[in-house]
Amino acid sequence: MSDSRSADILIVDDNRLNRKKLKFAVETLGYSAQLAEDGAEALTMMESGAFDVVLLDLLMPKMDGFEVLSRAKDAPDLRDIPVIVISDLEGETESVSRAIQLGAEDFLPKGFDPIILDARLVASLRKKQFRDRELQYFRRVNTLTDAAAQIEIGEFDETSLGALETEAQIGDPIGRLALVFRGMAKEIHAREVRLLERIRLLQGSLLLAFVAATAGLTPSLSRMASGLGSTPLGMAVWVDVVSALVCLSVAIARAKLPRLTRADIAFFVAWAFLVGIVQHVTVFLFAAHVEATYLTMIMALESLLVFCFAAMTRTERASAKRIVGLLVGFAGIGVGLVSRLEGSGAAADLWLIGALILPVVFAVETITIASKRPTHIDPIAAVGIMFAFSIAFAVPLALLNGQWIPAGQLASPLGLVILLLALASISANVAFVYLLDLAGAVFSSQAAYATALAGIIWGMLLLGERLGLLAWVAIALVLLGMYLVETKGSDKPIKIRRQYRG
Amino acid sequence: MSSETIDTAALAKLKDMIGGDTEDLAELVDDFVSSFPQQVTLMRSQSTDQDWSALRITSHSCKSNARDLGAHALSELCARLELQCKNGAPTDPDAQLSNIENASTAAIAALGQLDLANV
Repeated sequence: MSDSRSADILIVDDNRLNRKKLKFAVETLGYSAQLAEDGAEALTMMESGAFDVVLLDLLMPKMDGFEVLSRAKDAPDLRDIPVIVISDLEGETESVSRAIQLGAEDFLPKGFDPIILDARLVASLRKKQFRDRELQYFRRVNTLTDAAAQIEIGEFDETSLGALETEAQIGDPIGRLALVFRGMAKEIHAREVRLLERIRLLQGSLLLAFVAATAGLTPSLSRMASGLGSTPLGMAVWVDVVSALVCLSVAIARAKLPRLTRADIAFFVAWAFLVGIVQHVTVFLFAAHVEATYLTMIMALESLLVFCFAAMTRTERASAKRIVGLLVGFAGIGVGLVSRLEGSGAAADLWLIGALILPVVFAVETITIASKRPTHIDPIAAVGIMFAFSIAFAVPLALLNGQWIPAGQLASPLGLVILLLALASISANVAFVYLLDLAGAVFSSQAAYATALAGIIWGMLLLGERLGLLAWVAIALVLLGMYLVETKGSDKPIKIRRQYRG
Repeated sequence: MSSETIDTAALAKLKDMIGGDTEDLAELVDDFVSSFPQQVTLMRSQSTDQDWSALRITSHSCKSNARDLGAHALSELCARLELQCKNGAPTDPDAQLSNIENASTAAIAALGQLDLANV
């Protein structure tokens, strides 16, 4: 209400002639008037509309003016509306006195002078305007103190401090305070986000290195097992059995074994099928026809595919910086393999093209775990359940291919190698699940680079070779790629530790 | 300027109160003329029911309406009934209501004779 003449006046009187008389008088003075026939209707109208002053008759049937006053003054939203009681002064002095004690602003005799009516309305409206400004001031101060409380407990972001935005646009002292406050809060928030991203990147890189180091051991251990007379599928069965037993035992000991829903079972069947059947079959099939170095490079394409899947499904941000990071990492793998490519024979073109299915298979697994894994299930328990389901796929496959290894054969060095393989497999899978939760699918997909790089390094170390310049360049490029790709960022609200309390 | 039944000075004050518009004044007079007989009927019913609290409110309204329109004699009769209701029970309410009815008939007739534009 900027101009007091645009004020809305509510007239409450059970007598029609009195209501009309007041309406004509109020409108003549330039205000707008609305009418209520009794106390109950008046309260309803006051609650639903914004009135600046109420002219209230005291003596009414059903709900009288005193009750209206009493209820209005008890209601936080109504108590600041000024009420002028209409009264005959003859014999009603006590009533007027009681009404004023109940919170009436003023009184007006029924045979009023229009000049007195105007004066009392103007005085009441001024008080109302002052009170409105006062309340607005309190509301604005509350906005600031609420924001301060959010900052004090450390739980805020740019949107939760949005109320400050409106205040900051008003050029008065409170507005300027809100502007400075909002600016500082944004700065603190941005700094904390940067710090947490760096911590997450460091944690992600360490987990990635761990995944790569453990997964990179698998080829060497597999070669050792091969030398001890094992078969690929038979070995896969026993690795699955040992892995499932170890993981599920740990889960039971930690009371983390979950009760599975139908949706959970569907996920684990899909995951086990991808790992136990699709990956085994495709890797064994193409490993027999494509030279290992080419195969490593092709499998490193997984990172780029995961990026494309994540970008298409909009599960993670697709920035130019991230794709450049992935390409730099891929170049690192290329550099690392350059010396091995020299003189090695390429496979037939069709097998080489067909091998492109391998990164797709691994990328589908990464995306599936990242987007569908039931997050309420403990990662170790989840990996154990996946291995348990894998056994169901791997056993018939091994039997059909005549690659079954009898249990009696395990009481030999082969059993030890299988145990080591299972431990490496468990470590790599559990760490990979943690990595996905922490850093997202795109960052985690760089495990393909890191594993390839780890394979090269393990190979060189096992062969007693020194790391050449190209290998160091490859490592540097993969690390640079990780930095550029960044982690996916956290969806959780940031809790910032502040110590403003005395 | 005043007649025996209606005080035209009071009517002029009412006209001034509502902004000096003759049509608005005529609307108020019409309201009084059409509604007062109903108010008398209502008061009789309240009296029969011995609902003195309701009778007090109705007679209070009639008192102020009659006074606004310059019907002072009628207003006085209503005020007396209101006061008696406030203090407990009125004495001989039927007689009082008959007096009020007669006074209101006279006031309504007198109002019909007035030229409101010249008030």
